[in-house]
Amino acid sequence: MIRCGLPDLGLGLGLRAQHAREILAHRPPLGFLELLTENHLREPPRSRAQTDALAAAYPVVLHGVSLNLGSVDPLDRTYLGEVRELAERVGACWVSDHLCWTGVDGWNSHELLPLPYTEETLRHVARRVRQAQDSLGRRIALENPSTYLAFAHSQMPEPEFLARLCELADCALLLDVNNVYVNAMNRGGDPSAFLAALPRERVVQIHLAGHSRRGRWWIDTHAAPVAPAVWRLYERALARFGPVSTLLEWDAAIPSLTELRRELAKAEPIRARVEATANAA
Amino acid sequence: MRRSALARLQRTLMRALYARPSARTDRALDPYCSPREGIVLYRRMGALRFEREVAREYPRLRALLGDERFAALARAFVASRRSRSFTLDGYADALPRFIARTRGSAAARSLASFELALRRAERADASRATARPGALAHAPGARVTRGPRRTSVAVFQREGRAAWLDVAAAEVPLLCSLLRGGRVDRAVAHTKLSPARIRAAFERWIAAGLLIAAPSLE
Repeated sequence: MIRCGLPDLGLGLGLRAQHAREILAHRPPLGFLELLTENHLREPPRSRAQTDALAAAYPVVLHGVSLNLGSVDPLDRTYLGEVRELAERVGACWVSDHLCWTGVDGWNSHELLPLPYTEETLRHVARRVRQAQDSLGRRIALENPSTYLAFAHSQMPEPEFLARLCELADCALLLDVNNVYVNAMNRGGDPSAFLAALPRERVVQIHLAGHSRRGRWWIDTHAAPVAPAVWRLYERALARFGPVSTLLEWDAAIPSLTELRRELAKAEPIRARVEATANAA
Repeated sequence: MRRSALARLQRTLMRALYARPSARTDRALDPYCSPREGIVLYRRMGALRFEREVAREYPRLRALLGDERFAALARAFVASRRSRSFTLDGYADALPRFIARTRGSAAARSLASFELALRRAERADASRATARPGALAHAPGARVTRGPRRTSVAVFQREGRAAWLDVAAAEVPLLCSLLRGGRVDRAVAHTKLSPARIRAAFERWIAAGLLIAAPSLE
């Protein structure tokens, strides 16, 4: 299925440096690789050659954390230029970032900070998404972030904000199922209702990841296997959105490539089950 | 909410999260944010991200100081330094200067400088290994610095990785002159080394890949 002009790439892994050589040597069957954009900008020559070899062997997508789309600072044109160059060099199928802001007044926190969901924020972010898309020469996908704060003056729920942003900016969505779950656990809300409020035709990618408990908080650590409840939510997401490129993220206490692939493979029967149900219907 | 209000909120939140915590900034956020513990969580996650970056860049220094002393150094450094780049690459480059400014030990400063030189060599652009007439081309990122044993070493890029080799104190002026792009005949004329020692040094540096032999030298 093609959504927003983008294909279903199947099941992919987030590329982590310690696995790059093994992937190149053994070429395991993976639908695609997701490169963390900032890790591949200004790469030393040796890493650059490795990135190019991986991009020649697999479809790749870029996932960034520095577009700073929600900030009141001007967009960083240098960054945008470098991302565009990288995307063209590796032939990225798409480029994604987060619905967040990371800093202001030139100061970068490198955290994905939450936005108040107001009409004014919506117009502000939509304008900047359009500017970013113009600079990159392509539509981008925005991810729903995990957040640990809410703003009292927000005027709409997050999925409504995302849906309206997609319309206003003509952008795509990267649905992080674990973030939906973590946010619901921390702040309440119904994850299924969240999925139901998103526009079906805009979701081009799904992220799966593990979370951890710290006291009263559920933290999006990407340091554990995907929780059973998140797998169930993934199944509900596929039932709503159809087959969507799905990626497993793992960023801390990173296991072996074999273990990562084993975790990712858990998505296969879920996809098959949902497709069978859809075909039967 | 007007955009200026969004700007105010973002500035207040940044101060609350990353400047020195104060009751005043926390109070300023009260009308906006809930729960309050979320601020504390972001504050800690932010500091940890930067501290991890410092640890990633200076593994030898961490081994020298031990986990506890290194963590204290990293915390102090992070508290004093904001990131102004879209990438964390280079964020910790100022650590050797920070150690010097805060009167840290000479051994710590020297080792931090060495680790920084290694990283810079690895990042160096390999396409710029050219030389002026009469000079020798050298490996990307080549420079002379203090090594892990606090003696002089040459750090450079070899096959895409950072490498280093020891340089005798008497050979340092000659090598520095060559790495600055000086003409070989002038560098040799100014050194006090014997012809045999000059030849041996050149052979060693060329064999290591630090200097790239030019036809005129052969």
